[in-house]
Amino acid sequence: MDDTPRAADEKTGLPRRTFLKQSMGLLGGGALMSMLPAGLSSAVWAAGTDGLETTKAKLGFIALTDAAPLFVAEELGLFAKHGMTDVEVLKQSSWGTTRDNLVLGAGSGGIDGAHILTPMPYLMAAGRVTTNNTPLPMCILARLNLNGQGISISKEYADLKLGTDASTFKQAVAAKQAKGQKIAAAMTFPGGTHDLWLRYWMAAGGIEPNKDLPTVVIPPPQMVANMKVGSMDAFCVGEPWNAQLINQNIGYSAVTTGELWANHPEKALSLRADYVSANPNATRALLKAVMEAQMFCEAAANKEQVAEICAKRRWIGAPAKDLLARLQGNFDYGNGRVVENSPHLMRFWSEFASYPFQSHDLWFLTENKRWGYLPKDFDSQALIAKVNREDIWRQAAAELGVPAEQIPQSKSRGVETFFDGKTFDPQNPQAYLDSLALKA
Amino acid sequence: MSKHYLSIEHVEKYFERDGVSSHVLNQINLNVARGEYISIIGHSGCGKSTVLNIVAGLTDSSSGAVILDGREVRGPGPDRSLVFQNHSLLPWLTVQENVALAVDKVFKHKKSKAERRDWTLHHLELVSMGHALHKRPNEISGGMKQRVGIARALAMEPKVLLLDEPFGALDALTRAHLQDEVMRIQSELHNTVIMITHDVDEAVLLSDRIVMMTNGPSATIGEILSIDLPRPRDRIALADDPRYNAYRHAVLSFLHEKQRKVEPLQRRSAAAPADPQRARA
Amino acid sequence: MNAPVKSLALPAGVVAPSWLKRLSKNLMQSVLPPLVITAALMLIWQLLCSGANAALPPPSQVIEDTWELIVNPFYDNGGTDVGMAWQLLASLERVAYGYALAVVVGVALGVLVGQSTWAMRGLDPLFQILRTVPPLAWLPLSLAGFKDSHPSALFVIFITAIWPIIINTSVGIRNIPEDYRNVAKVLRLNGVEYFQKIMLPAAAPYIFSGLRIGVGLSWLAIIAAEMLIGGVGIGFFIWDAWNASRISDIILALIYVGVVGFLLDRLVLFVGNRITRGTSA
Repeated sequence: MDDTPRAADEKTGLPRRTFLKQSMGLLGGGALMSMLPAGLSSAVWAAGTDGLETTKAKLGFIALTDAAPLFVAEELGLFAKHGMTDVEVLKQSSWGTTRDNLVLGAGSGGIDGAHILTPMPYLMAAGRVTTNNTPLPMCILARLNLNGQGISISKEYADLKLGTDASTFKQAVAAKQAKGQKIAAAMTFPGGTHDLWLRYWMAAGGIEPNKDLPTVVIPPPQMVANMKVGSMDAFCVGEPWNAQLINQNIGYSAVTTGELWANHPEKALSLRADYVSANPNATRALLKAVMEAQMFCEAAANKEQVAEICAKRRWIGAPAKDLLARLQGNFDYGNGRVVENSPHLMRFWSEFASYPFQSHDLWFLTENKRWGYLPKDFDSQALIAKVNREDIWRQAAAELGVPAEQIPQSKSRGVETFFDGKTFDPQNPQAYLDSLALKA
Repeated sequence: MSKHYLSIEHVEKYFERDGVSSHVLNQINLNVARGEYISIIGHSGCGKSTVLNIVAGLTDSSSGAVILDGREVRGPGPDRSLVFQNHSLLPWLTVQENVALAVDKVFKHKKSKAERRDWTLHHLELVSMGHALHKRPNEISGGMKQRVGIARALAMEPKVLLLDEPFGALDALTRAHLQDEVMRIQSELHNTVIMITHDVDEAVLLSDRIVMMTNGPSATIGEILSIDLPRPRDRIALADDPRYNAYRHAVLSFLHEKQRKVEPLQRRSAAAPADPQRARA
Repeated sequence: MNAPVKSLALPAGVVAPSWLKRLSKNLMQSVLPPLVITAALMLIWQLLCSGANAALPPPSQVIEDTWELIVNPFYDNGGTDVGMAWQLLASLERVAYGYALAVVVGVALGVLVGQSTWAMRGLDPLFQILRTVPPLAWLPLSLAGFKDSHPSALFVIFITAIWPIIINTSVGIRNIPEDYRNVAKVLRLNGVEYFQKIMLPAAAPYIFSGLRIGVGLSWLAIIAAEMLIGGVGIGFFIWDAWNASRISDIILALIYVGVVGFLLDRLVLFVGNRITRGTSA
């Protein structure tokens, strides 16, 4: 069944009756029952998706290209199509605010779920980044994208022509510091994806984060502004910031993060656990809408339209041309290096981009342990079992009729290999940790 | 029960500051008949304002009492209305509203709204301020403000009208006009009035009796002078009147010869030794 | 009363109504000079920033970039993408609630502190310390306390605006001239009457200068708070524009913010002048 949404100029939703007929065809009753994990109430199947517990949801996002599935879902009426007619997609001012609004919840002027850095729901559920260390149970329903972040370098290091190898950078910043000037590298949230990419890249080049080069949390526009005046040497952030930096002639891209770890997981679609358990049907409806949006964003034919949507003030508001090239996989690194049709472009659906592999969540938690954001004895598996809801993803995929070859067989993507040769075996995370020279 | 309308009996006043007690008033005894116009005159610091404030009820006496119309005075009230040296009109109210404030409060249950309005207007006419009813105090002259103050005080139908150096802040010409006004009003209303003044001419011109106070501390009533000049009194005619001049002389003599006040540069000296003057009722 | 206005040349026989004369005089004196200066500054800005590598966009660029925003202040594209008028109104609404609360509580506390020496001794040091806390620092605390972002934003406004209101009110209350209090005593005004007729009007000029400062601070506080909280509002608009490097949008927003802040200030001044009837502190 071809359920790929058509591009539309205005938000349209299929009338509910047509939709019901469709979904009845999809469900086929008993065969699907066996795919349900134990614990889901049978009331769920009363009348297919007609039993939506609520049509409301508030989802937050940060103005980055990888939130595009949420924009597209809203713009193309996909939420409404799946019965969620009162979804609000709300721009958040920072990752910290996203966190605070998730803690508040929609009932108290906050949000139910968000486009979020994959480690964040874990840190929140473990009570590591919340007020009073109160844990907030969260669920990850899907990965929103693979790749698509960048490490950018100030143009004062243009001659170093940095790429994945950061070792020459070490001397350069040491020299600058010896001259009495401040050095800093910026990322978006401690323990979040950008922080981890930046640290991995630095550590692989022998730079000890914080000791050799301080890493600081800074909002993206300030990263650019600081780099302009020379007080920021490197930063790691999502698109379109890296492209904007080049367009404003302030710096260049050292890497697009796919070069560090091919097809790495990045952002997630996460909801408060209480919303998920109270509204299982609505949760799946939201997820289905996002998944369809991810399929839309993946299709090459739609990239221009995606860029146009992202360019709207309501979503990202940056010029579409800053967004489009890298969306299409054409990377101008800003230092003369240009790669067309890069394999490291941002993926929304291909290569199982949407499926939340538990092995990936394990890597993020392990890496957080590496840098001391989580204690060494932290029980990652137990938390993954609670937070990662790949079971809901599979249900949604089935309901959408996703072809079997686009649904991973296993919850793990197996051994991962990084650009510097290090490997991560999800069966043995400790070995990975032991193999790393620089850690907290 | 004193047969007098207002009697001040054995009033003493001490002020405490920083643990040091100063004896301001010593044995003030004064009887005032109904309809009498009394001036109190003396050097500054002799406590005349204190006497007035005690009669007004704004200050309590340390000992002694003030009896008005058979009742002891406790606390301030409209029966002893005050005209202040600084007019103290409320600047956010118009002339009429200033007087109406007093009238509405005092006669809330005794007169109807229309009656109160007429009462207010009548008193403003009395002081020749009928033309400026809707002006604010910052739009009228000092003399006019003082007239309004007098109107307000009179409108309360006081038993005793207390004037605290009412014309001290005005220029000589305005002062003269207002003195004439007061005399005219007095001839109509026959209020009992106690006025504090520095001005000898004013005291002699307006009063029935002048109470002359000794210098502080422990000031008391030095002499009381009866002014037997017929009313109405014309200042120009009186300028050549020997009796008027004699009275003036007596007051000046008290103030500047008997109660000479010398203030050395370093310290205030003790008051010049007072003659053992006793108040004559 | 006023000198005839020379700014109108009319055909013979036509008499301009006085309000028109006043209006044209006002225009000449108050509106024309700032317009001229502003135009001159815009010209300088345009010249300075016209080069290719200018740090800021010149006015022509700003207008070009923000033309849609300027001509269409009421559009609604969903989410936070709404016209400037909606953004400003959303912020103003928050200010209205937070400021109104600050006025009520602030004046009440100010009266308390002004009236009672004991309260002043106890509360004043606390106020002096708390007023130096920057508005944004209150935000995390209020979020943790209220557990809801809407009252938190209002609280930030409230806690920022309240200090000048309290302090100015208490000064006004404490500075009621003794003469007015004496008038109240003579009239025997009770507590409520004293509060309504003397205390509030006398303190009103001080209260209103506190209110003026408070409204300015409220406006500042909400812009800052919205940058953190998000949602529809001019503060978040600025933050969002910064995030997307839309400098022209920021410049436009700043102009609107300044103008609205100015209008708020004038509004409070106007209301204050009407109520205090021009009696200034």
